[in-house]
Amino acid sequence: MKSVILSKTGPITNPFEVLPYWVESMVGKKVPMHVQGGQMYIFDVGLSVNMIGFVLTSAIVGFLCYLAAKRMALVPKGTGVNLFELIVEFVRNNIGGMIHHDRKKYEPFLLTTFFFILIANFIGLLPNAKFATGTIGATFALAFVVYIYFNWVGIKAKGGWGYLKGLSPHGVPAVLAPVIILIELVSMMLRPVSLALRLWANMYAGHIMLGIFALLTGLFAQATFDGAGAFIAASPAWMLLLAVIYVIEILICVIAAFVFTLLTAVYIDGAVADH
Amino acid sequence: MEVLAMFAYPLAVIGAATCISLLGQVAAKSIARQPEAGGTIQTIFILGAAFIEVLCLLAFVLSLMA
Repeated sequence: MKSVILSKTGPITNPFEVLPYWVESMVGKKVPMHVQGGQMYIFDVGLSVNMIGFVLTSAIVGFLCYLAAKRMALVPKGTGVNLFELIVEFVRNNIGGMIHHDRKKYEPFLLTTFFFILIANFIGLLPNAKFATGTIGATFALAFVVYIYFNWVGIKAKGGWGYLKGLSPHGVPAVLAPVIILIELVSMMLRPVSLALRLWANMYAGHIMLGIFALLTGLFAQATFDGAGAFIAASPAWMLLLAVIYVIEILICVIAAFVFTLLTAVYIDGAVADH
Repeated sequence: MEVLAMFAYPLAVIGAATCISLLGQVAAKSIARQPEAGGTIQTIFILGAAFIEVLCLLAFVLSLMA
């Protein structure tokens, strides 16, 4: 297809407007994609910058894990590999300690989740980065995968009917069991929603605060230049607050990833445990 | 009417801060009583704080949306 922008004669003033059309002319015959109104659609799904950030995060996580696994040894040498092994040991001991039965089978999933969320959050700390956990869609996708995973694991370990029967605790008379199973199922519906909202709200609210403090710094400086009085004394104060909140944000990134993985481990343990 | 949305966040912070402080107090006291259980108690504390913090952050984000 020929669009107006491809065959335009004259200088390209904004390359980012023209890029989707050129990408389509390059890729469009191999992958069903089309451009409509300046937005790319691949497989009839609209593409946004956060999706590209998601894919980029996956690629970066895979690349880092590949680099670290190449140097796997009994006594690892080097800073990067040791840091990697530190995180792996942390997830295995503290978070995997929540699972009391057959821990080794579920470690890969926990490690993948932890590393993905950690690196996605860290990418979000760079200025103007479109990061994966900043949209509710991406975090809901992660939470949905966790939901399917722990249900799948529970059904595989106990059988379909045994999994439902295991939802009600021991020592409850058989008459009350359906009611309790119903209540447990409803509260299980809430789990992916709460996981997604927790991760997203943590990251989004942190970024909004960072943005507000940055804006205030600029606004106070601008007000002084416009001649509104001696406001410029307050501008470095906002900058200092911005620096403090930035440091706190790094802590929150790690804690958000930790809590997500911890809750995943708790749910897996609840699904697999033998009372 | 949009100004009323601004009052949602401080009200949520009152509840969240009170409860997380209580949780921290209990965690510190119990670690002082039995330091060997430090790891477990720390895990429980962070778990509880995350649950409470979700509600507080939800109030913040929703008050910005409306």
